[in-house]
Amino acid sequence: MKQTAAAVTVICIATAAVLLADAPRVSRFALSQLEARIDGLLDKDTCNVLGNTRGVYLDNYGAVFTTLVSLRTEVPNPFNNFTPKKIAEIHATKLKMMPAVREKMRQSLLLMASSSGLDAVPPDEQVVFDVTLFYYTSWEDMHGLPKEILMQSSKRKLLDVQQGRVPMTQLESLLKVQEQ
Amino acid sequence: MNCAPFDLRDYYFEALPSEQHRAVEEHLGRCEECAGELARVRLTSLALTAIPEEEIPRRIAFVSDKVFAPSPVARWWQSLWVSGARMAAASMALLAVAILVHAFRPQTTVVSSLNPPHVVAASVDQAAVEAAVNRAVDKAVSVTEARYDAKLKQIVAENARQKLIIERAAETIDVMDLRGRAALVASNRPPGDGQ
Repeated sequence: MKQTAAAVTVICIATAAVLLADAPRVSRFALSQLEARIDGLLDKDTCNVLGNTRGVYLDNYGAVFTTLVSLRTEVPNPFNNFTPKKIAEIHATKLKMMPAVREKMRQSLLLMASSSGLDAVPPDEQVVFDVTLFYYTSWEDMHGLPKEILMQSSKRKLLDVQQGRVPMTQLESLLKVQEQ
Repeated sequence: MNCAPFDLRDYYFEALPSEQHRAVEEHLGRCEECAGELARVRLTSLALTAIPEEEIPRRIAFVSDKVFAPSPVARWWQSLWVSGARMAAASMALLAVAILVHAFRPQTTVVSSLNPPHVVAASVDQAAVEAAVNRAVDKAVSVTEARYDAKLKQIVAENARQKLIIERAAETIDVMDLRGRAALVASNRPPGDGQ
């Protein structure tokens, strides 16, 4: 009888260990709440969110968020003739908007790092934010405008800035940015 | 029919003596049928007076009068027309005259416009004609080709413009669709998410 009880106990402990090992470190619920907050942060002033932010946690790497946005500019009537002047105006407006988009991405990274939803992410792991920008390929001048911006940093560095241990002015130097 | 003591037509035309006239008048005051008959007599009288009078013709003519008799030529033609034998004889005579005329009339030469006489062809330099024809054909072909090229360019340009418009419209619709989907996702999030 004692042997049977010991065997059942061992089996239960082993099953619980396997289940815990397979459970994601960051829950889907926590990620979805963060996704909504990032959408709310982005979909203002300069950006329109075209594809809702999606977050995923990668084991031993960190949290990765992706989204699709377009810059808020005048869109001419597609059935009218587009003058080169109008296209140049829209292009210039978008170029002026790019710094604001980058700033929003930095704010989003700080938000992610400090969010309770990512409490389970270890400090040494990465927090990544990838924004794909939408352009009208049929008529728009995309010269000098990035199609995709990726920013990432370790959670620890982001928390240092967020909690004031590192000045905000140094945030840009702490980030790894890729644009293409 | 009426039940008046005297004739209503005499009453209407005032041909009755005064006593009878009064009697009819009293009767008419009582009898609706006779009053209606009197109204019809009055209407008939008025209709007759509305027809204009025409004068009766004073001269009467008879079909046997000479003035109606056909002329000798007309009588001959009529008799010829109604007689089949005479008509056939006349036709044969006319045919015979036509054959005689055809047999004895002078001959005429028919010149075909499709086959010009050899005399004209011999006097023209064949090579010069071919060269002139070739030049004219080349010129006509080049003019036609230029016209078609211009038309083709116009069509190609218009097609390109329409294609661009369709592409722009499709992209605009895609963006609107994406925006709608993003808004739908945002609106379906549980309260508390987001801001």
